[in-house]
Amino acid sequence: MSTTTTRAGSRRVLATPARRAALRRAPVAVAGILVILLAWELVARAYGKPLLFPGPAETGSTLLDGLTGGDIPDAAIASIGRVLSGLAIGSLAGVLLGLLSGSSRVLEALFEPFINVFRFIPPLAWFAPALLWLGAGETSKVALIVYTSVFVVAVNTAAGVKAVPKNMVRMARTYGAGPVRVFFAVRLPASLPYVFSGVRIAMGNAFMTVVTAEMLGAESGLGVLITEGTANTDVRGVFAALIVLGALGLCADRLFVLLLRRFGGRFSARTLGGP
Amino acid sequence: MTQPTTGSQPRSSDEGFVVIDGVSFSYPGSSQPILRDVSLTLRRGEFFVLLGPSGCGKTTIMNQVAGFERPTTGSITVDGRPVSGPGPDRAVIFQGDDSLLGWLNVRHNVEFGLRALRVPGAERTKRVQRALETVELAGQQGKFPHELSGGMKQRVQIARALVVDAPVLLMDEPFGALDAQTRTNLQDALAGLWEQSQRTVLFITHDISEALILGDRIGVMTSGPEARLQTVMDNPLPRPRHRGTAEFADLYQQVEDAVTAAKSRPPAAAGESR
Amino acid sequence: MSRTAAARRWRWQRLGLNVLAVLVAVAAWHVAALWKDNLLVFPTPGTSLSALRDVLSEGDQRHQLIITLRRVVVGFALGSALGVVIGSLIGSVRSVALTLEPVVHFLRSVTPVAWIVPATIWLGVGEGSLRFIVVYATVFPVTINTLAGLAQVPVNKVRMARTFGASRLRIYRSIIIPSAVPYIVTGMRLSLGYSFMSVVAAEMVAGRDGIGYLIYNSRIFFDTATMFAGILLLGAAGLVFDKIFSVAAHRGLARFYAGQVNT
Repeated sequence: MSTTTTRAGSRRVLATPARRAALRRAPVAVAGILVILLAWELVARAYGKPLLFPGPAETGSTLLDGLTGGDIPDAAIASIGRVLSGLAIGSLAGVLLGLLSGSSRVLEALFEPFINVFRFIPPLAWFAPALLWLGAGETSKVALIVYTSVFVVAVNTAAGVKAVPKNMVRMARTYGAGPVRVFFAVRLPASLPYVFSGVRIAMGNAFMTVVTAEMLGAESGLGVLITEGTANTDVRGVFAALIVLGALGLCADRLFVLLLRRFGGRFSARTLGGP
Repeated sequence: MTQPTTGSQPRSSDEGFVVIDGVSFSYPGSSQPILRDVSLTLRRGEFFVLLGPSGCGKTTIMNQVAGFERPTTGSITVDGRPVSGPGPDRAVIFQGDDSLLGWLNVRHNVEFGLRALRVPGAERTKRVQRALETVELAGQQGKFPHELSGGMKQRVQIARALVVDAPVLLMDEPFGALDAQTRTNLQDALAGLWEQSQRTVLFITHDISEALILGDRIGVMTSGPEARLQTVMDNPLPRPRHRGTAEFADLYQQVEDAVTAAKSRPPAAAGESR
Repeated sequence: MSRTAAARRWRWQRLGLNVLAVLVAVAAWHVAALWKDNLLVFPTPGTSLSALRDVLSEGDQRHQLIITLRRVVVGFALGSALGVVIGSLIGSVRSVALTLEPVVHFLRSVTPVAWIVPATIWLGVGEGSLRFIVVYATVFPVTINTLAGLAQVPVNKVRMARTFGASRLRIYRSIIIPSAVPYIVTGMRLSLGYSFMSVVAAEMVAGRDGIGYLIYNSRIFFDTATMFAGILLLGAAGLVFDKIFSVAAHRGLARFYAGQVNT
């Protein structure tokens, strides 16, 4: 029925004005980055101690060594692994909590005091008790990530559930949909953009938390690379680790935004500009 | 188009199909009623338009018939059965687009009710296709709500209501948010559609010309709070109806006078009867 | 008018439910602690409360809290100011935007505490490096939100100003910045939370005083009482600061929010 439109549509995507504009901007962006690198190099030269403040060149070669040598990928995988497992568990729990909290005033009132109290306690503050209770291994770190994720995702999910338009639910009820169908076919999909948004924020927080926890004591991970750099007074290694951190965080976030735009855009019936 | 009929007799049968009896409504805990003692009977197959200024409680009446809210006093029955909650015998077309499921395409949105009613797949496909063709959206069925214009979105809602063959249609100012052009097109389309299916329709609007194009009878409401049904007028114009004729203009004037009278009528004091 | 009576009744019911939830949680805690049976590592609520009382009356906790809060306030103020300035700069000059925006997003993804090493090298051990980290944590959310705010100014407001011949500077000052205020405030509120998170992290990693250091250090002595006291104080401080900030912002800047649906 609409196969013809799909093919023409996909061909047109590449040539949209937005894409063309982005391509035009690229050289300026590249030039800008070069300027930054230049500035960095000058500051490093001025400081005069390449071990304490390496310029882009030294950092770049250290980075390359680390990437090919295997230090950095191993560390990155360890950190990412912790983030992902903690995020998965925490998000699931958070979604559940948020769905319950958002659908029922009573449940919300029951959960409220805990969410409000724990929201303001930085996850890392719990690291000390976690070490005592769960030991110094993986469990304590993953538990910390779970803590970081649960509340953010719960709060966002609850907001999403409450934002489901009343008429959507009413419409479903006119067709005889019971509470279960209303929940799965209407409330849940309508809340998804909010859930994604919460998970995205949680992911950012999770990275922050895991790196710090690793810096405080771990056998693997990017945080360990940073502390090693301190021990050897080798800031080049630290800078390299920082760049990897930044790149990882950035990529993960962009990936999320992409996923959100691709799958989340259709979750609202509101026309994107138009009668 | 079917033959135009004359006279003030609607083609529907005479028994009351939707009976609204002495309905008052106020929010719990509130002392001032939104509706006071509204009584209205819709005949089977009749197109009834409820006309009134914004905020006069017309939507509240519809919500009660739909079963979203319960009357504080009085009762509502449909086909002899009292209304206790929403159901597929009274399909609703809402004012905005927020009842459309944005993550489903047009076809799945229209299909939603049939799935909820557990209609088997083959029959679903057939009925959905027929409904889409009726509202002329068959070519757009793969599109998603956010890709549609306002008029198309309302047509999706109409198809969604038609596909379950609900005997009663409740429409809450469905064309209110559309531009004038689209509005008149949809009014004519709806009028034509109704003639072929003969369902009982309760249609809410504040637009007099819309009421005249669509309704067999027009109920004029007073302004809120404590809104009442001021008067019910017959619409003798033969179908299909045209906006430019002298008869249309005359009737328009009559209705407008009634609306003005209803607007200026002060709310009844407690205990005072109509 | 009487709709608020129903609302008032619900508010009391909600309070009741809140209290019920807390009571149930404390009871569950008590049972779990008895079952675990290791008062040092997992104290009962009763033990914790009395330990808390002892520890709080000592005065050292409060002193540490003030040290930490001072770092938060200074870092937050500096970081927010910087964030608004950088955001405005990026937002107004096209070429700067293209250059700096990706850098901002990149830097923001780096954990603030990770910079402790370079910060210590450049600014020495102590206040300087710790404050740097708080500033770092604050700057980016504020910058990004400022950018968002500057980008969404309704175009008709600007057009209106131009019909009266307003200069670019005037338009910036009297239309664009005021329109961006709610966004900037949101960014600042977010940053406040990040300030707390980063100060605790920094103190744990490289500090010698402050609540974060205190909490982390207590684990060596298995001093869960001090730990919990510290955590409690931290949470309370965070809550209070957040409340003060949002109330102050919404009261003082109320007119910038006028006409909007959400706060």
